[in-house]
Amino acid sequence: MAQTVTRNAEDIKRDVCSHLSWDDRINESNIRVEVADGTVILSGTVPTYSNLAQAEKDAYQISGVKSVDNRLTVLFPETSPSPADAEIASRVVDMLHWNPTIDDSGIHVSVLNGVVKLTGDVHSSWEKSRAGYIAINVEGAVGMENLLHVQPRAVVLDDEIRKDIEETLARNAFVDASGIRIEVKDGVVTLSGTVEDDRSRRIAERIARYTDGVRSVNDQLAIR
Amino acid sequence: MERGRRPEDIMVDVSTQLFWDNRINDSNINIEVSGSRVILTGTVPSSTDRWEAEEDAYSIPGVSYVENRLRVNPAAYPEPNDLEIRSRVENVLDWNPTIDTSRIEVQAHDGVVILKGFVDTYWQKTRAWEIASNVSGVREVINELKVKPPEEITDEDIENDIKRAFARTRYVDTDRVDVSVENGIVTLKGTVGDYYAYRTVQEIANYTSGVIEVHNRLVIE
Repeated sequence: MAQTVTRNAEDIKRDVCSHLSWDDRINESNIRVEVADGTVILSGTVPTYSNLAQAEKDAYQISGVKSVDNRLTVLFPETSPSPADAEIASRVVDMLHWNPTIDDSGIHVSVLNGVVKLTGDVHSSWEKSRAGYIAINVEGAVGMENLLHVQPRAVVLDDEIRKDIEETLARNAFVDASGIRIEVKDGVVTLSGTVEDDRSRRIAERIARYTDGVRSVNDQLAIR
Repeated sequence: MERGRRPEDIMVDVSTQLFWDNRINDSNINIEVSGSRVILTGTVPSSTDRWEAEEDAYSIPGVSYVENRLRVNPAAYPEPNDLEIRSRVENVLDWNPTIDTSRIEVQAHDGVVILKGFVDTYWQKTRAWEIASNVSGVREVINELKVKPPEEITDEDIENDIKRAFARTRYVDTDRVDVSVENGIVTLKGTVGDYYAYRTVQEIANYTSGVIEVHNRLVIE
């Protein structure tokens, strides 16, 4: 189990670097790691968006890390021809359409210089994030502007949403939710307070996102 | 893991959890609880729902094992034919920047997809399965991909690499985890405290260079 540890910056840096080099999925040759006061700063470039997200998660796995400032950018490798914007857009449209869980009828896709922009409407906050995840993981995509608007199928009262999130956190075996504060205003959930580690933060954020009626989640949780 | 919860209480929590989860269509899911084991039967519209239902059940205190017997009954209408399914799966694999598809062959029979051929790593094999599973019209994916690492790494090196990654990871207590490697095949045995540890240990093995396959025999206690 995670514990609150203060470790010196050198040790943390060594572990983060070893972890990135161990992880077979990640091309870490252009990643720079710096550590200051429990914060890991990742900078440089990676060839895919999934590498960018994986590197951040890997850094959070190391004891003593309180936050990760992810400044990595995606640089499509020069050795392979980068697909044209129109080609990327058409791939994203197909991917969204072929996904059995998303209603893509209200989604509009456009791409400029490899940056995918999603606009229009979906019915839930998880569909919004899932559409973004699918789009950014298409070959050629280097960035994402997810401007999808969440329009729930039925209005759920703010109080009911809050209660639903509270109860689900209470049922969860992995999160100590005692330090979490939940506020809901017009379907927008704000989570604040502290949790034990990044894993707990991600679980709490996801629970809010998967709750009926939620338009968006503003995650202000800090790691103790 | 929280011990000694009554099966009736686990049952109530699992069904509430599935009902709460806005992503899952739970109308055809049946839940049984026997001791600390949850058995899910029935049908869901996609393999994403299938996987999410399993994870939701594992998030309930007192659950040591989830036997996922859910079957995918695609809700896609009109249902794509096998030719269309094959072409979709080939495309989604091709458009994923992390998988080399040059040696992958895709077949489809009545909505069941078979992946054949070769990939460089075990995580690419599992990723290919995940990606193919998330295509509408697909009922099931049979993963016959073979892993051929570009360079050979000795079993001893693989084992040490995994153990060092365990030691660096904050989320798991691996004192009672036993790792053995034979011809690139990793076997995980022993016990862990919860499902998250179970998953993390499996992922560490998956992402280690040279691994051909992972057999996870860990028990949640």
